[in-house]
Amino acid sequence: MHAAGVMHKRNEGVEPRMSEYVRALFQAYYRQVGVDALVPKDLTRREFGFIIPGKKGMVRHQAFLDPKDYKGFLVQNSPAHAYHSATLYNSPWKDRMDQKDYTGCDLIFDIDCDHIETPCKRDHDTWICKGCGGQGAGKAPEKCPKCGGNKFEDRSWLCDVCLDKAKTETRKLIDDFLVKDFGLPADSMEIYFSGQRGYHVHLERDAFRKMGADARREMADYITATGLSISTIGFLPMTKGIRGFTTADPGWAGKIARGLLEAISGMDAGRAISVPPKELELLRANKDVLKKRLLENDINWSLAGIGPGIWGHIIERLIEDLKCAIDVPVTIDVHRLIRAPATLHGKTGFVNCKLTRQQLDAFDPFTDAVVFKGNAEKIKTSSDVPRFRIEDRTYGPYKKDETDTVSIGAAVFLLCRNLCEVVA
Amino acid sequence: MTAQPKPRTIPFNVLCKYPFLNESIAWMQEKSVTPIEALYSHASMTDNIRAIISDALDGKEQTKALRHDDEEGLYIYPWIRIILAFLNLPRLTHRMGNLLSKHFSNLLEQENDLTVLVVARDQSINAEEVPSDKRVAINTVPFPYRLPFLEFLDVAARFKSHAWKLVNKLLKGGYVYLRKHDLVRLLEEVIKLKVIEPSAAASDDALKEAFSSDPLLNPFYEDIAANARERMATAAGGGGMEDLPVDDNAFPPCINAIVEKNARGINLAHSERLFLVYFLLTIGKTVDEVLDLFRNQPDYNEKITRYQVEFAAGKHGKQTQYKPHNCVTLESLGMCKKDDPQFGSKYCTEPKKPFKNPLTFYRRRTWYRAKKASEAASARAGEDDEARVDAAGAASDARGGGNAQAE
Ligand SMILES: [Zn+2]
Ligand SMILES: [Zn+2]
Repeated sequence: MHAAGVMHKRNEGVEPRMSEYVRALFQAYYRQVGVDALVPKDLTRREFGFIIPGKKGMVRHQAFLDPKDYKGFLVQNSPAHAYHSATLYNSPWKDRMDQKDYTGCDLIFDIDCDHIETPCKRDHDTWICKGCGGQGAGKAPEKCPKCGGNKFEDRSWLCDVCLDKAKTETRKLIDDFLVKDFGLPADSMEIYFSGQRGYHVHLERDAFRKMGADARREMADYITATGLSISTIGFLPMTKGIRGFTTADPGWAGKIARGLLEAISGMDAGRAISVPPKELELLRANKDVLKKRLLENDINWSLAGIGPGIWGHIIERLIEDLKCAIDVPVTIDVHRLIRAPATLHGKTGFVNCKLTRQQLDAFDPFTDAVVFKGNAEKIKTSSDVPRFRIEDRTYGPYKKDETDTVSIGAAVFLLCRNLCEVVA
Repeated sequence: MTAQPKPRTIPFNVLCKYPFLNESIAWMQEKSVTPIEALYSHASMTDNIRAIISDALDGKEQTKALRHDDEEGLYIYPWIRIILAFLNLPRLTHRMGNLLSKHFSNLLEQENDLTVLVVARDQSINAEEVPSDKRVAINTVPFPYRLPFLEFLDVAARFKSHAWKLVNKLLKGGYVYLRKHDLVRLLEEVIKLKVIEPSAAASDDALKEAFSSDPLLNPFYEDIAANARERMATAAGGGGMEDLPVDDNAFPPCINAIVEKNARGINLAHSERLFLVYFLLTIGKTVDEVLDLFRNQPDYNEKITRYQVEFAAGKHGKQTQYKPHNCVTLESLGMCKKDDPQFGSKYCTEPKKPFKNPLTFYRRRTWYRAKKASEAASARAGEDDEARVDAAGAASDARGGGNAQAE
């Protein structure tokens, strides 16, 4: 994922640009925000890293003993991005990893639009080849079709559909996996909107902090259905008949049965289910008898026309829907930096928001994470801009050099992406 | 020494049978008998120690020299660990770990549910009996125990078999539901780690001194030591393969093809199954590890399959061990996959030196991969972590600052 080669590139460093306009607003925000909202649990044992306008690369290995010092740092530097380690150290300020003295690491789940497929990405995401300047829509390819280069400027966009999907996945992670299967109370997790493209769930109890990489991987594999073998969990295509699962079965067996029941019940309500037409027809023909068996916890899944192979396809599709699209390396790696709570995101101007499970349901990132409100600003776009929404108003799409009067939140959003200037 | 003896919850006969239990060790400590006194007061102990070490050297998984019904069964356990510490032969220690963990897990399989639970609890595996209203059975197989998932992962995350992955386990409400056999298998792993963990005796100079100056014990020890060193030396002569851990990523194409087929739950042909079993046993997998693989088979039957695999391992009747087929035979059976688009390998089609048996492929790859891994480890030492965090920050810049990590 994060190729080591990229590192050297960064060390040469491009100074992050930030307009004076945005910088002044960021500073004003950090002046007025409460210390308690900013400070992560166990402040003194974490390493901090910042992207600061005018400074090359990331300012690493920062540590703070006093919450007031941390806030002071933010006010003084108004960083474009602020991160802290998920890891806890005895000496977080030391600049060599082997001297920091690792004591544990929060268990983190990351759900990011980057890892979720949505149809709208083709409409609003673009990429530019750094080699030849070639452009394209959607996700950047592995290799540039024109010059074969593999470095791209990724211009991925934010939209309601993408962020809604990320929220749905986050709710699935919490409700179906962490609460139901892993037995964790919903109030034992810290839930955050990252400030741009996704959500984080942190588990900070000591028992999780002590987990080794193997155990973290096992948990991530469970959530992403990696290594799942339906025959091992009891799906048996025997010559005398097919043995399936009951909705009461623990683990993935029960998940699959419940997913199947929901899918065929949804058929009555006219909802689409994501299996190919042939399988869909067979399921439809057998739906009443299958539903009856599922409701009676009958594991006999022998049905007219549905052999082991077709069952395999159907179950595979169900698993696709039931698993959760977490970014696995974030969960496994115990040396990650994570966006700091209540800090501003330099690509959006949105604030990182801490949420309860209840708040998550109604959370609207394009309204609730917008801190700079009101005030009309006149802007001129510096390139094409896809449609976007801030609070109740939808803006664009704009062509290059268009002017418009927008809310201050929308102006900050575009300025953070270098897509406009404020005209006096 | 005069501390109030804690009330014991485990019957004495169970303590004698399972001397690794914390409560067994506490019992011995209460008695305040020194190890050397214990050795002198149990006449058959030196012979039994010698026999157990010999069984470990033979690579056995059971021993007749452990007594289960009296104090000697207790006192012999610390002595085995003391002698392993003095000998300082890591491979012997591992074999002993294997021998004792298998020996005790065989005994545990025959215990009633409560005794297994008591032993597990003593070993900090906080399994509990599933409350009757939450009972789980899959295809009529009961899962009478459950274990908090973090404790399960503490032990099971080390297991390589996919049947032990959490994703293939029964997880609900924070508990993993287990069969008796599963719980015993977890205990077996815990026991093994306990046997091989360094003993405090290794640095107990006073004990070493007392032991080596004792007119009877010194020759006893020297005899064991000479015998063990000689036998470990000859065992190592055969190419050093036993030094290397089993490496599932070094399998030849023919084995990978069968493993993959099996993982997908497709019934294996008899010849495929036989070849797989011989191969895996020869490279050092245990009977249980091989059985774990077959649990995936549609017609899996624990008893029959175990008998077949143990038979192949030479445990029943005649002690012949079979060798996996040669490449020529595999080709004639249509089981050679050297040219297969998915499984084929250039190490088969263009080997540096031709070979006749897939075992050679495996030995070469294992050796090569182990060498690579140790080179990589020494090159990485010290800067590995740094690079990872840095790359994290770097990626964020490369992608426009948005994504310093989880983001
Ligand atoms: Zn190009
Ligand atoms: Zn979208």
